Amino acid sequence: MNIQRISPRIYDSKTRTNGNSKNPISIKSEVSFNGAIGTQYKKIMGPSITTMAKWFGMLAQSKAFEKIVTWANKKDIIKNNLLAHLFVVGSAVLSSFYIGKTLNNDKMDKDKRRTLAINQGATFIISTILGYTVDKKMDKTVENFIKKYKTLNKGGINLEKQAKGIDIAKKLIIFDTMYRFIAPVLVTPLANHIGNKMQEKKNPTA
Amino acid sequence: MINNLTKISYDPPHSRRMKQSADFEMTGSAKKSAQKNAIERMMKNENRIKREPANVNFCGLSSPKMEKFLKSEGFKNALEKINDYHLVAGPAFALILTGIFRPASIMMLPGDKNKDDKKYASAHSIGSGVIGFLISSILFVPLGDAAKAFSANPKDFITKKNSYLLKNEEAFNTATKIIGRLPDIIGSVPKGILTIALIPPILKYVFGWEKKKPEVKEEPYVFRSYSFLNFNGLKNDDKKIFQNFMGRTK
Repeated sequence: MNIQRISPRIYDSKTRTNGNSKNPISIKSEVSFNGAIGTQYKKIMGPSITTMAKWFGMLAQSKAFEKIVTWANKKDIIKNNLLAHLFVVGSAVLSSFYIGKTLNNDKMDKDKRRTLAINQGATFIISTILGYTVDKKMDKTVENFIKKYKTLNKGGINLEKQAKGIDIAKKLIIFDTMYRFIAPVLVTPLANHIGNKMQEKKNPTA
Repeated sequence: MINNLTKISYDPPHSRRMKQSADFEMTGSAKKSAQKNAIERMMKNENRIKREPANVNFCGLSSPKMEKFLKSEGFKNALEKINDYHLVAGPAFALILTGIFRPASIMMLPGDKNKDDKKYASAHSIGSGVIGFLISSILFVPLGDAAKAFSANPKDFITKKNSYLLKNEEAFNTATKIIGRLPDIIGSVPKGILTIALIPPILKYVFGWEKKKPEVKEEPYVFRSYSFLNFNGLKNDDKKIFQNFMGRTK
């Protein structure tokens, strides 16, 4: 099966071709900056970008990665909302780090540490649930928006890419708002309250 | 559809009534002027009717200005950049949240904390947002370019000819998505460590705020004289007093 190429041009520091000698490669379309900054960036970062892309290739071909991809493709729940799950995985790693740091903080007493760790865990769970719920609720609206956008810009270049951009923007906005705004401003005081209640139940005299 | 229907023909009832009244009730020059006025009004009405009605639905965004914005090159470019560099787009949006909305909410919400604590929390939020964005921009832009290069031309980076990625398009798409987010997942812990480490100097040197330590109230020095404890006049027998004081059993 052929894989659709978004752009046929790619930078290769050694051959300066993309496998087809007729088409000389240009990194211009693959880097983030244009103009003078782009030229400098291309000079400095070009080889590193190619090396990193090669690492990605090596990683993608590894057996462990293949297993993950096959497993993800088998389950529709994961496959259909993969980007949102990846956002959550990133946040879970960060939250685990903060929870671990709290639990190993010698400056606080044991009970306080536990309460804080529970709060952080609860904040992550509540934010995640809220994120998924809002994301699902917004699905139809965003789908309609994408349809309208496609009809407005019919025949435009990179229309599919732009439509993907809308979907990514939606997920970014929803999950970032939940983790960066709703959680610290609204959920943390609630989680604090729950944590304190739990602590009170455990130590009624305290 | 709605637009077309409204465009076809529309004769407003009030203009018809005016026409009839001009025809049957008046005579002579008055009739003529009335007719003229009626025709002028009708023309005005026609002009009004010719205008296109507002579009009814566009997910709540219905104005022609919005359509123009959605068709603009800037918006298209922004969407393409979000698709390619979502690792940077996320922290950029987070910067707006942590730089504006979160501090504003912290300052506005009622709470037990005093104003200095609220200021400190706001500065902490702004600092973390700025650091998160800077780190992501520096580290993740080249990584985003690399992921883009990989997805644009996979055959150059996949060495195995029988690789599952070249056989199955769906698997390739999933792999690309995972690779696209992988730097964020792996980099989140170092980013967190750097953020924590850099927040205090940023607070001190950029915002000029330092959390005040609670002041310890020092008790004023009071000179106490112990001259009443005069041991010079004690006789040898009185040593028993000290023996009792030290808890010696009799």
